[in-house]
Amino acid sequence: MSATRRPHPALAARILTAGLSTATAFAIIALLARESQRAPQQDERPRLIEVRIGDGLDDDEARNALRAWLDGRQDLTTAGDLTVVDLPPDIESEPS
Amino acid sequence: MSGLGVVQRHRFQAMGSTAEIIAVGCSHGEAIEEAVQRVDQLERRWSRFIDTSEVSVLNHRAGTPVPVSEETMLLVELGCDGWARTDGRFDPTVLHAVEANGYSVSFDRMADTAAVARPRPAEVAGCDSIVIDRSGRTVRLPPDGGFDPGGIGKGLAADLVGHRLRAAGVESGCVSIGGDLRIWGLGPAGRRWRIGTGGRTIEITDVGIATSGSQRRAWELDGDLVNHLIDPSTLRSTTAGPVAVTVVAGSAWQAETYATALMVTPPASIPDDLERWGVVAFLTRTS
Repeated sequence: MSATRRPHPALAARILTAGLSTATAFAIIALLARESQRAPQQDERPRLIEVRIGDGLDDDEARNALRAWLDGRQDLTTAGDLTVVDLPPDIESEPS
Repeated sequence: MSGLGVVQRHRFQAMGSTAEIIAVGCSHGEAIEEAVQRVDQLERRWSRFIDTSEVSVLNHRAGTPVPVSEETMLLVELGCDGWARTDGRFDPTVLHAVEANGYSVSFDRMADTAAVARPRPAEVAGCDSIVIDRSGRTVRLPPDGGFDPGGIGKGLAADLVGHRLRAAGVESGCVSIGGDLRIWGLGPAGRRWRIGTGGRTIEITDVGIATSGSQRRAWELDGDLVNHLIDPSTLRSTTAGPVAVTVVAGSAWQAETYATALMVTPPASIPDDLERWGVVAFLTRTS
């Protein structure tokens, strides 16, 4: 596996267009085509689905609902694509 | 694991917030410069605080078809798509309710003057009444309708600019527009990107990430504390949902629309949404 990865254009389009109407999906693909004249090949991989309970979540009903959901989805909570680490971030996602 | 060598970071102001572009691996000065220009171009087309922007013209001429660029047509289409997928909880047509809260000038300018309330609309049109003519490349809002790009524009800009950077050869990078992120490849440390959110750090790559919160853009209006997040069911600032939500999705625009929707969603209903949408969410805490 190479040190860096770029999505195959078909994968990029699929990620961006998942669940969209056909017309909108075509619009995105057309725009991607204009933005990108070239893109390398890359193996596709499944998308991650996971939910974690925030440390500060203090609503019992919400916490219980999330836990119940997670109990039935252990395969997803152990997915390897997203992990919580005890390291400083490269960048923050903040309310915009 | 060692890092990947050259890391270029360029921070600048855009879309009423701080933007940052990070390119990892080798020098990409020209591509970054072009990306900054692209963000500026999108802001000039989408900002509701620039009178000549395409979104402003759309709002001024509500009720008539308005020619728009491909990017603006996409913005409106995806806004409508987000509205449909969230059952209207993300609603870009709440513009007049946002303005009723006094958010009718840029947030920077609001700090200089007291917010002035405007008449609150009795209802908003929703996206069903927006007419998009792709062949004619026009968009028509309903009469008295309004389009607020606030809950999707930054994320979509990050997606488009990120895609352009990848096409220019930036194999690993990050585009942040006000904290809405599009990341790909490996981070500066030579492993997946480490993203801080709500006091925790997650490692991930090749996704879009957005955080929505009710405390960042909040102000006082007639003695009440209000914020920029409008609950479409009440047309008032949200109070029922979490204080902040971070969503990890396939793209930043999706993450942003979902995060906005979850801010007006009762927490107990959130798991069903996450499963239906197939995304990751972090709830910081409830109010």
